[in-house]
Amino acid sequence: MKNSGKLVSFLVPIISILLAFVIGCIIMAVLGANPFVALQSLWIGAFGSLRNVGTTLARSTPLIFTSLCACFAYRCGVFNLGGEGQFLMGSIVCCYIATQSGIEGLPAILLCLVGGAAAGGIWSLIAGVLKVYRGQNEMIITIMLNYVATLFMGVVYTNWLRDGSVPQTEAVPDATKLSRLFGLRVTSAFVIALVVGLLVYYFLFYTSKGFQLRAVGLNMTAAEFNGFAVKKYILMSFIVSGAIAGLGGSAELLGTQFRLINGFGNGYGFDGVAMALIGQLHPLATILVAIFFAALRVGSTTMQAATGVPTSVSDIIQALVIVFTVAGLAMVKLPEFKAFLGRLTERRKEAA
Amino acid sequence: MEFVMNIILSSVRMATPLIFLALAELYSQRAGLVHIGLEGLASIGSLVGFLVSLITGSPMLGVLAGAAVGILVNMIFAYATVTLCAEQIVYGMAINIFAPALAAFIYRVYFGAGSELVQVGLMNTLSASLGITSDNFLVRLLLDQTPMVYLAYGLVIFTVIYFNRTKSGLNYKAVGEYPKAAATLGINVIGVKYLACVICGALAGIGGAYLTTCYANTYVDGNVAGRGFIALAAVIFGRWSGAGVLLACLFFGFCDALQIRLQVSSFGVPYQFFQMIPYVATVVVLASIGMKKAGPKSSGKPYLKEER
Amino acid sequence: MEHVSKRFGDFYANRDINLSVRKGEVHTLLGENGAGKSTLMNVLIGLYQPTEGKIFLNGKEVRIDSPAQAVKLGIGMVHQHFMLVEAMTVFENIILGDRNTKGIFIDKEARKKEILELAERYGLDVELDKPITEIAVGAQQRVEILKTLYRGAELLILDEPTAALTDIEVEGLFQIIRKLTEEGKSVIFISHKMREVLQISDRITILRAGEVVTTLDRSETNGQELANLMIGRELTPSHYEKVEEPGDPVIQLRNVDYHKASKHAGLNGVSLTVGRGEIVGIAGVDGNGQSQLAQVVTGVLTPDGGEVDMKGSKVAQFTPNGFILENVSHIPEDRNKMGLIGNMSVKDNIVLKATDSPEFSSAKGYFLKKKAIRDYALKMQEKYDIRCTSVEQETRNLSGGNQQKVILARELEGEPDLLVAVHPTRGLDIGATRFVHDTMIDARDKGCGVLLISADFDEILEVSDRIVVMFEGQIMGVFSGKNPPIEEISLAMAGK
Repeated sequence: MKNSGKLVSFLVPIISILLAFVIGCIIMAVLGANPFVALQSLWIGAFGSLRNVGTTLARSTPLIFTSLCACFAYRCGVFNLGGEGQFLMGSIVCCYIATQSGIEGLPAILLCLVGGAAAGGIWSLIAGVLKVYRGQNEMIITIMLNYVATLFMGVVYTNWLRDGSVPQTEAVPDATKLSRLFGLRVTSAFVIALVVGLLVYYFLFYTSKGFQLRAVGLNMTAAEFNGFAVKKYILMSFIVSGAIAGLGGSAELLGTQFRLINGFGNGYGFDGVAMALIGQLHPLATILVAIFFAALRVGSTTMQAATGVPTSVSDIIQALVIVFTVAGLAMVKLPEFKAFLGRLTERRKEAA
Repeated sequence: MEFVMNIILSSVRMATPLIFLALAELYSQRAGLVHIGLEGLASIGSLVGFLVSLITGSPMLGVLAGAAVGILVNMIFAYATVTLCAEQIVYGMAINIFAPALAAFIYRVYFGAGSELVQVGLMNTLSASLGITSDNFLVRLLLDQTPMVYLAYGLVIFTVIYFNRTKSGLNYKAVGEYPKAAATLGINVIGVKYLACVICGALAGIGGAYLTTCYANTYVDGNVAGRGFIALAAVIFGRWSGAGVLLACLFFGFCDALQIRLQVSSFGVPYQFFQMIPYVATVVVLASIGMKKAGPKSSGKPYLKEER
Repeated sequence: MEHVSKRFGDFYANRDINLSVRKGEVHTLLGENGAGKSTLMNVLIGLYQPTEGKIFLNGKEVRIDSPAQAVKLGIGMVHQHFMLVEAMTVFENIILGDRNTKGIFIDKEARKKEILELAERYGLDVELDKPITEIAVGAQQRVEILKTLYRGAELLILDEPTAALTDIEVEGLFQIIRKLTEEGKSVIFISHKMREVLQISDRITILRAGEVVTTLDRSETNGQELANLMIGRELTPSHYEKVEEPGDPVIQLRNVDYHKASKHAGLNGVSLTVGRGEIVGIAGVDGNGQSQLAQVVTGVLTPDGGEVDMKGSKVAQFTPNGFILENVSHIPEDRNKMGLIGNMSVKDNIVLKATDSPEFSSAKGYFLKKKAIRDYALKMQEKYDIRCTSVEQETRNLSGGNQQKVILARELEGEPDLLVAVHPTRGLDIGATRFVHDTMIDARDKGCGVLLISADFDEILEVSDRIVVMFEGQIMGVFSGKNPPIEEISLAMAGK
């Protein structure tokens, strides 16, 4: 019984992924495609060649940032659903610095990244202040602020920083773009994402402050009784998680997109939350989950070309993984399920 | 004058889908279920409404099918949040990812990739079916509307009466406020919560189907365009009452109508600022009313029967 | 009720209960907190299902599988925590869930007339159109009673009805109860206040640890007997040497107030001193301000008035961290909610407060010395005899006794100046209880001042060097822990 709890919560995402794939295969078969061929082409599309791996990693980069944002906030008991807004605010400030400041090259890159992170952190802090000092539910507030940020980005690319007739901003100067790795699609933004992931991991599990932050997230009352400054940690987790998302927005702009345009960053926030949950809020697992989702997205194009199965099957599989995992994680927490598990282990003991 | 009249007419048009969605949210929250997945429910409702109306040639059947699929998908939400006690907001988010993916998938499968835009006939307005043509503003406002508009306002009136005048409505509200107290009085808490999910799913599906049977004559991915979240905002802004929600929807519909006008005419202020109003207003309302008065008390909390 | 039992997991909240209530009588259930009174009543109104046993009503066996069923059978309960929907009016609360009338709409005029008639008959004064939040607690209770009567209740259960009332309101309530019984209704009255019980009851059933001790007629008993039966157990001499001369004061409270008006969650002019090397036991029935006292002396709550001196100097700011820095340790009343981070390991919980110290982290806390933490935890596991599969096991999966040992290891290893222990042995078995007591005595002998708050009278007698009785936020008396005057103390606990 002692470790079965941990084992179960580890198994839930795995089972969910398998189940989602089974349903995906059934759909493919119904559509008249051979599921095994389809899955194979999905794999080849995502990891079949170095080039494809590069594309997958590039696709995963913004997802890693937003999922780390969610992961960090949730660890402190803060349900920050505003990853998208913070991501966009970061990219807006980054875009402004990159295209308007006149600075280019490495100093511009550094300034952009710092500015983007700061913008994300400040945007997130709005919700933090409303939670801590007005007792408001941060989930609703951050969702609303996502839309405000999206529309604000609209103002920027259709109006303030519009470049020519198309509603989009001017591209980041070449010298300020993040460099590609080994000539692949993946850029140093991915390296930054990994470093952030490792830092988050180190902070949460190897520092005293991170330890206390997790304690606050797991049991706020006990943390307060044990003398921790709970409010300070909550505000800090808003700022840091927002900054991670904002940094991600900057890195995405400098590494892949180069300009703000309609649809930039769309859905990354909620995707990130889902991935953090599937990764059990473990920063390194979360990175793997983000790469897994990116692979499904990248590979689906190859799958469509090879077998005619539409790419949206892959979206369905992704959505099912999320639907199953969240329901599964809730289910294993129910007292009925625990009792069931208890009976199972008891029976096994009796048999032994 | 022409400009003002047009704005008013289009405000009513823009507000209608919001009313359906906001009522869906209201019925859900009144039973203690915060549902941020309306965006998803509406998108699948919108697609199914479109398909059925295309196949049968009847927009009315399309709306009914939209309601049915809304209920069906929302049963997943009901099972997960009521029976499994999953975190409601997280699950609403899962629905928001799942349902649009499903809609996009069905569309691709049905029409094949890269097909041309398919169009469908819209629902007739009352004046068209009566054969009345007039440029009179009042006639246009009152008669040049689809039956769905009348349904929306009828539902608002029904909702106001239901929650304020009927026994059943009172019991329903009690479930969202204090489920344990409701249970001690013999009210079936779980039953009411499931009923809420049925109503919510149906209304959200109708709201989605409205977009493809009465508003635009085709389906495109993402056509719900944030209305699910504006509806959530409208419920908060309208302080969880039927009448308040209606006013909020009309106001947000007006903002929407205004911003569309401004997009075509070149006006100094970027139109996006008007689109922001619902979201900013909600944050301001929440920040000013404080937690105690913020809606049904047990909203968002799971209900466990024998808790110790 | 015959042979009724209710089990939660392995814990029997009620075991083999027999209880009969006659028509037109006030039958009191008397017992300490946790004796199983509320659980038993929740079985009776169908909120819980009994694990075993039968229930008879007017001689016929009945199954009460839902609150709706209980209402139909004429059983109504006024819960200790009122089941009123605050956002609604008095009127709406009364008609909520109503099945007596036909029709979809609420016929306000007719219903109001009915309710007012009922109210008049039983002398229940209510304002129907006011929202619940705007009426006083006493009025809320009248609404609750009216609610049950409106549903046709013949048997009314009042769970600690006087807990939140003023004396005048209590008198009003008793008049209502007398009126009810005159009209042939039966009342089950749940309380632990002796004076009130003697005043209102016809018969009294005493519950202890989930079982019935006995049922007595009001006429053949007295407060002394009841107090003894409720607290139970003849006195066994203490295992421990009692200290009579404490050292310098560690903490001194002078006229401390906190939410003075609240009798059950407040403090009213509390003055108290705990010296080095003594255990001061706070005796009293739960919910008489003990929780608030504990939270004031650990910095969680800031008092509204009065002064607190810590080791001779006045405390200016009340924060948990400030008190921790003053070397105050706390064994909080709810170990799962307040003491432990259940999802963290034994090891992490042991070092919870200390990870900033150079012993467990370097570079200003930016590097945790995991090995040092683990070694220390293993040492503590050995020393405090914490039984777990490994120090990596999550504390929520430990038994209550082992959870408490984890807290002891954390709180006592630093040799605190003051230890505040609240219900430290609640829910523990005899072995673990003994261990906790030994540890507290040990700390005392090393010069630590201990403030022990417990609803378990045996425990107070066992380890306290001085006994302070609290009732309704006030201190009723201070008694010596050596040869304590049991009768005086138990009367003080009952508010006499």
